[in-house]
Amino acid sequence: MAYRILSLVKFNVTPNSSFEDLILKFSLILLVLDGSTGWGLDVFMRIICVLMLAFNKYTSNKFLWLLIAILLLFFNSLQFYNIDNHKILFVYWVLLITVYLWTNKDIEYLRLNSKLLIGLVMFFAAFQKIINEFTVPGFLHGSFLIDGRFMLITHFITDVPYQELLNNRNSTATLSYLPINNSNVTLTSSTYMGNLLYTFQIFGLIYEGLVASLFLFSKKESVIKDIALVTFCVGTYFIFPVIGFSSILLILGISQSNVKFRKYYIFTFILLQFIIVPWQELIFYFKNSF
Amino acid sequence: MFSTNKRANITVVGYASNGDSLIIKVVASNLDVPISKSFLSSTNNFPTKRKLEKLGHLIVNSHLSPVKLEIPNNIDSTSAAIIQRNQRFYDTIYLPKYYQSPEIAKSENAIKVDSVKITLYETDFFEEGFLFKKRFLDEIQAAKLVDKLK
Repeated sequence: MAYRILSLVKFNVTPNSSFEDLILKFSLILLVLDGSTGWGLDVFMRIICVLMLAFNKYTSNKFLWLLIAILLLFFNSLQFYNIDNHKILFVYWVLLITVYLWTNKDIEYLRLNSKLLIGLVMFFAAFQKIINEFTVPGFLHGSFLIDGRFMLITHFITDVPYQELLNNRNSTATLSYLPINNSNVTLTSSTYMGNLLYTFQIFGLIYEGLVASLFLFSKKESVIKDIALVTFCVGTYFIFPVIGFSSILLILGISQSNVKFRKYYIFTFILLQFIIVPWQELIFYFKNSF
Repeated sequence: MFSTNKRANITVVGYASNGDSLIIKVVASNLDVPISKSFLSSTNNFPTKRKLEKLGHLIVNSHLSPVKLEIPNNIDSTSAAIIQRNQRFYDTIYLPKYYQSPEIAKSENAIKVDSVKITLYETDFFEEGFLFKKRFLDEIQAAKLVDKLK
């Protein structure tokens, strides 16, 4: 049945090269695993992308890619202020693939534009941090104290007991219900933790700026930019487990890299799938159960 | 991921027909009052008046179940004094909950309110003193839709 439906839109174009096939398939896998921003889009993504992956002749079908681009644009624009920023990057990437397929451009078009896209993403990431007071202390420290995802890391780094970190979280939650202007709670932490995280904060900002410069201004064959991006992904996303963002950056990396470095991007893509393992909880469990 | 700890914070106070006011806890729920997680996070990130009014109407049309509110001991002294003076108000928080019948709701001391006031605050973390603080931004009122139709 599905095959018959797809036969109706049989505007098949066989992939120009195995490299193009690799990029399209990685992008489809990403869209199936993390492309959704809600059940409405999820249903369409699962059907269309899985069928395009299952039947080779539809992998590079420009009509299906246009359909994906329209669906992503429609559903993501409905939730523009709510969705994660990497979902917007997905839209840019799918639009780029769609333009590439519809205009019959050379594969170099994808390589050059994915390099430019990484450079621009990193540049704007650093730029918006600078204009949003990211250079003053407090952002990472606050995140590590308030966000439940980092509470165990905070516990491992500092001597603050886990129960006190839980109290921090509970008190911020309770404060959010109270209708009292200028009310505040004092969180338990240490100056050492604040200084350490501020150092990471500034280092991260400088590193993002460095990756942006390398991708915007270095030659396309340069491997230094690739090493910088792979290091950024491994260093950042094992602490901040945003698998969608790391995956799209690495797919863009695969798309712009030379043949020699491509395997390292693919290896990192596989390695970073392990960020979904709850490392903190496992360490906490083994540390406290023997 | 955000690059700031600033967040919009929604605080809700309900007004019952007997003149009592009470604090309402707004949380996403699949099984109780259908305030979806994505709707709530969308109001947290970009709280338009229309969305806040919709949230207010969801609350005034539901039952509110009482839960004891534990005030944290690391709260600032001014707020602690305000809470001390209005202990009855700050002693209990009400959770929007769905009941199959008004009788079951009554047996669990769940009540309804006529209107709610939604106050929008901004919360932020400050490195100096490790303070997590909230600041007033705006407020809106929402009354029962059925009252408007009468």
